[in-house]
Amino acid sequence: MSTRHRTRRRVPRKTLANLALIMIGVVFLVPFVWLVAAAFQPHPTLQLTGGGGFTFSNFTSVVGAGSFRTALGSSLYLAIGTTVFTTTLAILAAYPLSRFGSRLQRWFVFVLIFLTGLPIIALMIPAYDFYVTANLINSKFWTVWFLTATSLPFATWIGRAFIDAVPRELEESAWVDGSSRWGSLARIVVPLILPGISVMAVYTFVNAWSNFFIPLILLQGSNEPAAVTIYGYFSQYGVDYGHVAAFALVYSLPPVLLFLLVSRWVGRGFMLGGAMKG
Amino acid sequence: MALPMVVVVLVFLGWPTMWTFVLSFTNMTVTGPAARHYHFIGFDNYRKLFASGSGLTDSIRRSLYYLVVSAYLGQAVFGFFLAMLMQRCSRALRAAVGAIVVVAWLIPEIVIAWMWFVLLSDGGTAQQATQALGLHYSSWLVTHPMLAVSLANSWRGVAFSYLLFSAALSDVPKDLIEAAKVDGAGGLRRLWRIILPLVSTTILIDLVLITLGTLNDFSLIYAMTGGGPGDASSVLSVFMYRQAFVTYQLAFGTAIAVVMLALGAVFAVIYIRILRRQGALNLAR
Repeated sequence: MSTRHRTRRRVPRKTLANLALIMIGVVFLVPFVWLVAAAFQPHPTLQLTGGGGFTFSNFTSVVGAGSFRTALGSSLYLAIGTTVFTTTLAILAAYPLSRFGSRLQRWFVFVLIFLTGLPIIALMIPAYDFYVTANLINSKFWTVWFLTATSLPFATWIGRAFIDAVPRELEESAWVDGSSRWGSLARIVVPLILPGISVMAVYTFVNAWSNFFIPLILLQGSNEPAAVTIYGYFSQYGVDYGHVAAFALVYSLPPVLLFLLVSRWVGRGFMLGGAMKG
Repeated sequence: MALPMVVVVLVFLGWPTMWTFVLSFTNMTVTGPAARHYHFIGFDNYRKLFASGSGLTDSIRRSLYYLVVSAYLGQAVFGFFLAMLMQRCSRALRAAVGAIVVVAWLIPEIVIAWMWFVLLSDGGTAQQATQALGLHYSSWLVTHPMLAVSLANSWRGVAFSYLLFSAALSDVPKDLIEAAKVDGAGGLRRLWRIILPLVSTTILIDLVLITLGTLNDFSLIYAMTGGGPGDASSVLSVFMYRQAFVTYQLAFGTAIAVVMLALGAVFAVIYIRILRRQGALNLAR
């Protein structure tokens, strides 16, 4: 096969592939179109219309509205609380898991993977019963703990992989200098696995921020996060779709921005390495 | 050091898991007179659940449809196709379409549910588009609810499979492909004989992970259709939720939850076996 022949055949093939991908891209954009259009139109309907003007007023009224702010505040509370507790506890648990080899450790890893696949929705009935009985229901603080428990298995599991990559020798020299286990964990291991911790934190944050059914069951009223608030607008008549669309866009932004930021910093491949383990 | 983590997991996951089994043998309801003093009724919930007409087999059938159509076809097969296609495309286009696909994966599922709800509703964009083509459309949320939720789930979830596969495909040595070309192997043959065997572990891991994710999925379906119309899109998780929190047969709901836990356990065991075979658990230290 001569090179000339090959190049001549390749050009239209590549064009064909590009065209196919453009079509897929356009089809993928369709669900976004209405949401984005409605967010920037005054009083949109379910119908997609080109006209109707362009406005930022939906965003300004959403930012000004107390109900939207409370909902976003709740989402932020749940997401930040869950991220802080999860990363801290997961690293503390991943460290001995990575450093001390024993039969117990082997079982611990199996249980972790097992828990990663646990259908959390299936636990919501006894969890609800437990929260009602212990009078923890409708408390953001205690909902954070449930969210933390659901994200801990995965976080601990990837945390162990990150700590595995830190050579023991680095720590051993610190111990010789009189450092304790806690000291070497804080001063040597944690700074070295910061990229890993950031991946863990982003996964935890995004999941807690987006979770719908846990707060749906455990929280009510002014404690409801944005996910539950938006769900409330599904069946409500007389809702200003422009406001809800603007609110949905604002609510969707943090996960996208966080992913962009961290994948820029640590690299996309590294980010996926975390996803694979889960 | 691991103690706080173990305690939190035991209290908030271990305890409810155990209680799921215990409650499934009781007659607990929330609002009824049995609210706080339920008693054990043996296997009655299970007898009721496994009796014909309980809705269990229909829910499992719908869960399987959702799994095969949205996860295996819409995410794994389409994700693989997308990853292969992208390899042949120009860099800028790849980045642009890749970004759209990943953004769909990242945004909260309730927003996705709402976008698709509006798109497919009567009067929504789908109806406008089909009517512009002179075709009749009435809301798929009503006429084809399982297809509607499966499309939405494929759309939001394909990025995960696509990202895994494109990472695996980029590790396939280029000269191996070139050598096969020189030997006269056609495109399909190269795919079947060289590429697929090299990425088979990734495919397995992807399948197990999306199986777990899809079987446990609740929010997208519940938000889009509520399990309806009637119970036409009531998969296992929605069936459980409606029994427990809509008709307040909490104990009966936990019997369904036990079925879900058993299914999840089976796939978790498969996952552990794959990881072990692959040596990813490196426990031999």
